[in-house]
Amino acid sequence: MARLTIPTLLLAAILAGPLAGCAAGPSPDLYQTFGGQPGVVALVDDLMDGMMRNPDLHPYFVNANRRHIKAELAAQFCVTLGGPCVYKGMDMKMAHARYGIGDHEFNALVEELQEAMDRRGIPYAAQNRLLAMLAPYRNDMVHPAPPPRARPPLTIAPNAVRVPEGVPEGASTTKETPPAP
Amino acid sequence: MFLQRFWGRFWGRLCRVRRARRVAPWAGAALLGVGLTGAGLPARAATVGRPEGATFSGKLIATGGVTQVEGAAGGGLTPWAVIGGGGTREEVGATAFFTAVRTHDYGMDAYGALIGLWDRVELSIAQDRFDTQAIGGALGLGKGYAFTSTVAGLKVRMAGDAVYDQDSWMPQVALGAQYKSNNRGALVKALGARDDQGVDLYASATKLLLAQSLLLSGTLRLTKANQTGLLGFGGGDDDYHAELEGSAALLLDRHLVAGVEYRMKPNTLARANPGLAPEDDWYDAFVAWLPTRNLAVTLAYVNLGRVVTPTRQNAVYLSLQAGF
Ligand code: HEM
Repeated sequence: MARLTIPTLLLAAILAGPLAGCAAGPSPDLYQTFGGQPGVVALVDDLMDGMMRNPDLHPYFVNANRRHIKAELAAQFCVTLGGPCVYKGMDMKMAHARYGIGDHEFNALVEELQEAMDRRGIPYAAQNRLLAMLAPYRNDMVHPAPPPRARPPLTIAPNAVRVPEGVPEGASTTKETPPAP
Repeated sequence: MFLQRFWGRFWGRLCRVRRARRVAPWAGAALLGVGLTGAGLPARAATVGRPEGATFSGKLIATGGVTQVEGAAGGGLTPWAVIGGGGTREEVGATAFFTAVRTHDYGMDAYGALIGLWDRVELSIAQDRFDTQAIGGALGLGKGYAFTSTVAGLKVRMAGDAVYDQDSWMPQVALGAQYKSNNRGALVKALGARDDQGVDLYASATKLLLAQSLLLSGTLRLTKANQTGLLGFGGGDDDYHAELEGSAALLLDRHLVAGVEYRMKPNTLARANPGLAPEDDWYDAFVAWLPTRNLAVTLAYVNLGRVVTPTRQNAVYLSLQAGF
């Protein structure tokens, strides 16, 4: 049993810091660590410059509306970090599914983001908190299932529209059925 | 039925390729038109999509792990569920390693290589050479008598992704096997072992808690091996023993990882041969430095416990790994 004490102590020392200290998920503190909105906008500018220099990513962005993407990205990062913004852009699957993005390209973008965060002096632990929230997007961007063709679900109550008397039930579907013999 | 579906898919593919080919000149012409009208666009249409040729080393740095003594990707002592090498799901990768372990009495060198296929399958080969140095002389084997164990390994990722599934507790899970063969069959059998070769089976679960910059990994191994196979297989019994192994590591920055590991071992040989000291569990504390995505240097302090003699063996462990 005594043999176990050294590894146990070491393990406790390793686990204590991360598990006790910083929480996961968005928080205003994290947003401030990134320098608030000016910090996020500068980070996104720097990120886009880095991506344009990266031969793996350049082809995806060279003909894209980079000003628009940067604005949406800044809003999205702001929301993700816990800032007071609203993201109004496309959902991630909609935005990316039609580009052939592989793990290689996704990771290239992550690395450019890490470089940009390094250049802006954002602490490594805070970087990882942002990346932890972005990482699950990989499933929407890389090898995604085809985008859903179904229309979005109705958001008004089914009885909100009153159908006048005299209109037969299911009128719109009757044209599919073959005429009665 | 099957054939029909196969054909369908085959034609589907071909058509998609054809369609893609047809688009290029069309888009080129359109852009040329725009270019001629003076919009200043690039003369050639940039095609968007994955490059057609093979790519390599797309994995994030350090996410392929380093190489453990038996040749599997992982920590230093225990395998992780990650697939070694720098290849992502659309790539293949490979690494080679050399590890030197030095205790006061013994030396062990290990070297080998692995290939990782599409972040799914890992094939590895390694050779561990255990040098008894002066102890060999004292035991009458001859000074510098060495045991060599050759290990061929297979690991398959079954479920989960250690790095990207950050929105769930699901770890990456892999199953693996290591076939080991010892070159001193007559001697290890004389010492009490039942066999000079054996197969270890293991299941590993690895999770990166990225928001906490913490990596946790656990392995359950079924094994008959004495001192990982360097002293043969079986002894007091010829049964598989379930042993736990674990690692915890902190990501200090993108190029530096520090952690601890623990590896339980069966103690079967000493039960067959009371002249040998019992086999102890191993543990270590390590620092791994990954200056680029192609290189890793791991330095560790390892406690190997008792190895044949009653002296506890504290070891320095240095490992180099290079790959893509
Ligand atoms: C975590 C990773 C990523 C995040 C958070 C992200 C975020 C975004 C956002 C917010 C937009 C704007 C959506 C809109 O216009 O409403 C966008 C667009 C875009 N992204 Fe990403 N992205 C990521 C990864 C990637 C990768 C890996 C690539 C390519 C290699 C990529 C290529 C593009 C392109 C080409 C557009 C323009 C889409 C269009 O307007 O058609 N993105 N991304």
